[in-house]
Amino acid sequence: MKYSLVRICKSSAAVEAIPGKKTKLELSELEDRLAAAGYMIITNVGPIMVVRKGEKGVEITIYDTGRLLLKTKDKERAMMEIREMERFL
Amino acid sequence: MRLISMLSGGIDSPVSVHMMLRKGHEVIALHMDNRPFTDDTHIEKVRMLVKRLQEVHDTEIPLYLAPHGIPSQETIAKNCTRRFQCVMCRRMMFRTGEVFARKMGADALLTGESLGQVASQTLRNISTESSAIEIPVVRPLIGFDKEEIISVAKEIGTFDISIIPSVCCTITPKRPSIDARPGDIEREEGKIPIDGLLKKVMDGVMRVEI
Repeated sequence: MKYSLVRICKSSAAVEAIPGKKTKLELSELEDRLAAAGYMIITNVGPIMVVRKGEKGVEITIYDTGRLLLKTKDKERAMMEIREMERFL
Repeated sequence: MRLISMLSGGIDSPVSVHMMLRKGHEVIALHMDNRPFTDDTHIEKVRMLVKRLQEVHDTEIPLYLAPHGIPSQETIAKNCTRRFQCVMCRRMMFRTGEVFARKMGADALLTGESLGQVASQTLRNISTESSAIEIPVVRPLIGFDKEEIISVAKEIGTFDISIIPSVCCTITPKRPSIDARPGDIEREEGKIPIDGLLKKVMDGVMRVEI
């Protein structure tokens, strides 16, 4: 699924991305796919999952609505992380 | 009095600390570490805030961190009704504060709560959150509006630290309850091991150098 990047409010330190169409992710299935692809699953609480690729990767919060929150201020880096993750979503 | 400040890194709690320090009370700061549902910036912000408050009042304020995102928030989110997340989160914070206060010989908790400011600060929710503990809670900002709090924060030099960009809590539900009744929350808490969680949290409490 294709994602677009949205910069969130000025007071925040994160970049948000939203899916191109309305979606509902099954995070327990997605967890297996991401783990197999080398993502570290930090937590999966049902409607929200937090993952990271490698020790120095950007921490990504994935909502079951498809929304992604990337804990970085670097838009380009965020976009690279999103492009890498898109194929699993 | 010796007070345990539930210091968040936001605008309000440092102002509540200032209010009580200027009256001559002793404050120990406890930050509930909400990672991975926030980011590392909060830890640095509370260190800077404590440093600033120490300078303003020329006194030592010991700072402690308690793990909260994992295990407490995670366990609540996995097992309980979504709209009660914030009230249950705060009840766990208060419980942690209470046990920590007993350990440190403190008389009360200190918060920056201001009536009606956010969903967890409606009168009903404040009452339900407080019903989890027996220790008194001091709330010097309860009747202040945000502009008044900001004005004091600017005066004492904590405002610019509090507004350093950081990730807000990511586990907040879309529609948090603003009218949580103690009975409903106690039923929800029956689904999770409160005492076990509290023990895990207390085992993880650590002092932070300023």
